[in-house]
Amino acid sequence: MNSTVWKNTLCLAFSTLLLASVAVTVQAREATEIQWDDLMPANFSYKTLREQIDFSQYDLSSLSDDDPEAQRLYSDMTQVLANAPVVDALGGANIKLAGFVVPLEMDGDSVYSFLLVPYYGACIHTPPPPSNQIVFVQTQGGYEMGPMDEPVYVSGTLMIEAQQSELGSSGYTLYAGRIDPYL
Amino acid sequence: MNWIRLALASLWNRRTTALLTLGMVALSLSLLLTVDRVREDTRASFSNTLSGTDLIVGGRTGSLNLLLYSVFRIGNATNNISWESYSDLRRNSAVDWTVPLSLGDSHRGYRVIGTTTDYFDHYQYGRKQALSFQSGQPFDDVYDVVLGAEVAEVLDYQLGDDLVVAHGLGTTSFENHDDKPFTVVGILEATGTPVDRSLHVPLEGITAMHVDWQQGVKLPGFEISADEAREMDLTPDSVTAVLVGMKSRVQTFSFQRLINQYRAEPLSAIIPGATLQELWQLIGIAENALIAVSFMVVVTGLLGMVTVILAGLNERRREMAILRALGARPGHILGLLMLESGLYGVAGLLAGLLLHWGVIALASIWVQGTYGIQLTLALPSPTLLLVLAGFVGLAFLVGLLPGWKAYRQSLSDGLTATT
Repeated sequence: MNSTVWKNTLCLAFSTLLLASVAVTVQAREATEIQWDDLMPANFSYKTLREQIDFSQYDLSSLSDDDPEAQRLYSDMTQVLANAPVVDALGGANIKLAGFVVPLEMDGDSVYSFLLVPYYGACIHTPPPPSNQIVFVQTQGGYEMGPMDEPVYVSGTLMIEAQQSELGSSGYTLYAGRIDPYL
Repeated sequence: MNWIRLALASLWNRRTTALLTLGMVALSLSLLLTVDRVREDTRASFSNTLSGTDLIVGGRTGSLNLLLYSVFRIGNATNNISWESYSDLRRNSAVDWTVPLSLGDSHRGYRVIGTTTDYFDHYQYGRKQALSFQSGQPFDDVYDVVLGAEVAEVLDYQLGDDLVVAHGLGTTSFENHDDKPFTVVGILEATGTPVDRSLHVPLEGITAMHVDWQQGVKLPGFEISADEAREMDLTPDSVTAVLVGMKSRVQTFSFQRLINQYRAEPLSAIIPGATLQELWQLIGIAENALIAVSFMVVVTGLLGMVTVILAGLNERRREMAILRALGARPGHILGLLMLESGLYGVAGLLAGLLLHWGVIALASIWVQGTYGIQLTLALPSPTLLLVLAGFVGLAFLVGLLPGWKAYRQSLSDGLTATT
């Protein structure tokens, strides 16, 4: 073959390779944006919660707020919420989720791991979100966090990891690829 | 013509003024560098102190207060946690490990911490680094003590030495527990955290020391000897704070809620990372004010330098005339003055850096001992380096002002100056 044909073939091959690699990277980077509701299984409702607690031991009609019985019931309910079911289909998914950062491991201004929650103040006074509305995030190297009341978009691979708790429940862990401010 | 040599020679001719101007620029820059370094190192020191702990529990108090007194040994506890509450907490199925801490005593200004051997197993600092021993081992007997690296070094203690713990947290105390001396059985490796400035004794040791104390004072005629105390039940009545590790991190919030709403006793639980972030947001305002002031000082230094050069131009008309006579064009005069101004900037930066490092080197020992913050000798952060590069560029640019004036003067003066 003469040199022009060679050149054309080479050009074509190269551009195909380029396009293919771009397509692959674009696909790899494209994370599905999910909402916090997507982290809760469809059947996770107040009704299923009720079914997990043995209400027979409590006389609900005569309980007041101060009653230690009420406290026990409350802690039973909190226990159930703390071991809420997860959506198994999301395991291994490449997702993007917006939320607020509660830092755990820090080094100066860099955060190495944090909890992603749906609202600011989850660590303060309002009732905490159930465990399937909290995501434990591990960052790749430190992330320079801004003020805690500013939400961020976290993109990465969502894994479902079995917790070491006695109830054998699972929780969401996100291995973050990128963290961007939510504007 | 070698312009740099010319500029330097000209400066040397006016060396007193030049040195003072240089000093002014250097001082202003070293202020900015030092303020930034102290800010960075303070944050690093605080975050490096604790790692791997999910919650800190204490008596009901402010979250910042709890963090400061339990981990950083700054400030005081408002109340303790009863042993019953601690036992209940420990038994909760969500908890993996707990480290109880009992505070309130000291030894020659260093805080004494009553704890269990879990402290040496679970306390981590930096990036999940565990404590290790330089010599000796964790405590075993009621009257054993493990020293932090700085305590052992400054007070010159070795394994087997005896020491007496004082009541209270001051450098001296008029109430000592001298009937119950402690023996050094272990010395920890240096960590660069408040652990180095602490002494660690078993919880039972704290109880033993106070067994014959009533209402905060040792009553005469009521003494119980060290050996007698050893035979007694030394389970503590209370502890000051507890470090908690959870089995599952996503359970942290619900457990924290449980403690904050605990009916039997008013308690507080904090997430260390989140509380530290609150601290930074709080003092962030003060930090920003300090940085802004430092920037203003640098600008003032730059303006001062330009003023000095401008003010001296009148006296240098003869010098300019001579240069013109030697063949320099008015454009060269402009360039010479810009170079001079730029040289002040560069030399000022170098001198400022040296001055900054000198100040840090001198102050670091005192700061480390008093506040536990480690000041490091390092290059400025990348953002600050960019700012400094901009400063040097600006120093060259502001030379345009006197340069322009000298340019016009040299045009009008011609080859003979009228001064």
